[in-house]
Amino acid sequence: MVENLDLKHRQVLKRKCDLISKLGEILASSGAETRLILSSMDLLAKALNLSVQSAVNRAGVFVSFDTPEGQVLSFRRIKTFGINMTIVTYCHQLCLKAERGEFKSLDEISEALNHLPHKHYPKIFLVPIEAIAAGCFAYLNQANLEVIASAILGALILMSIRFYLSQKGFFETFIFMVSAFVGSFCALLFAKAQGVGLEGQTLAILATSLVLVPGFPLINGFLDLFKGYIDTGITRLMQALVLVSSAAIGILGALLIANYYGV
Amino acid sequence: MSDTLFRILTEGLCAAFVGPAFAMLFLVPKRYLLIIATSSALARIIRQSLYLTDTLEIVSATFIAAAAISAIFIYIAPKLQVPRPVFTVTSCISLVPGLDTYNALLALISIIHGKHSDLMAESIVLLFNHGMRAFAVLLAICLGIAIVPLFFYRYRYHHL
Repeated sequence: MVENLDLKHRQVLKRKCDLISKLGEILASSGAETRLILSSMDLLAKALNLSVQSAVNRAGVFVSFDTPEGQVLSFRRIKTFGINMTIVTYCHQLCLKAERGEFKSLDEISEALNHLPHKHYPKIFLVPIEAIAAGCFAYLNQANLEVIASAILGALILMSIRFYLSQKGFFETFIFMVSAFVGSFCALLFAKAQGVGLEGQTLAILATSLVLVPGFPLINGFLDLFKGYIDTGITRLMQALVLVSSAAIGILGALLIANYYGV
Repeated sequence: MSDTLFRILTEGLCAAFVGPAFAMLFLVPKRYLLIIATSSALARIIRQSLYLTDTLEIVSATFIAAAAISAIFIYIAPKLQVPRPVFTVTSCISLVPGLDTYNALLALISIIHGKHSDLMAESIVLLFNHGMRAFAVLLAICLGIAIVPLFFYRYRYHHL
């Protein structure tokens, strides 16, 4: 009888540990900064009456705690470092709810973690929005109407290609390279067709490719570094650098081809 | 002066569109887009008000704009129960130094294809000038967002 109770208790502890590491894994793969991941895991652990030791790196999320019988350990691999702020917000609010004691059982928490919101903005709506944003970027850099129009058209093509390749499951670096190449080349063509000067052409290409700025990896990388999470900070900054370099290669390719063929 | 004011306000309006557009790419929930539009416009207006009126140079102006946005969301984000970077990162996108980065890239190409030493020397100067300015502005955005919460870190931790 006592052995059965111990076994049941151990299973509950293991389940709690798994739930905490799952939360960490979801947050890490949705682009949350490291401090937020660790504090959310601690918050959930506190709500589950556990005092855990947790860690996050590029490889995965570790959660462990000591029991009289030994150590309970849970590890989850982080497959991708994506960006989904809806899920980050959802998980953060879930932890706050758990802290307030709004979940009655482990099943409820597990259910909440298994049914993450999968809301996406429709691509057909996002492409023109991002194209107008590129036009706004052109205006912010003192462009005239012709340049703004070229930037909008270039960004329309760039974003369409980006979403198409993303849907086909290509690597992100390849997507950035190809979409920057085609988008900036088209922006250049549109600008030249409207008789825009060299400076205007430069602005059109620049505004078109600014929609590829990897804002979250870049700023989260710095946030991690300043809060002492050096390894994840460097990983995120390197990720941002690789993406920026991919876009730069695409733009350089477009410029070289335009020069070569005298476009 | 009225031209400058008009420029600042129209740039604020454009930034109010750019911020939510990026936020949608990062899948920020719909109900926060209006807040991001406002803060994005505010960030741009603060930066340009300081820069276009010759009060400060671009790097310091950018730092102050990013720090102001970060400070605002230290109070607003916990009330909305949303992690702060959801707002701060998207609000500061309109401060990204695009033109300098691109000019640095063009200068780099000129160096690679340069045949005359005078032109190459000029390109090297341009590369460093634009490259360092772009890097400094980018660093100012990141520092502006990252440093301000460090002052409130203990306070926020206890209230989390």
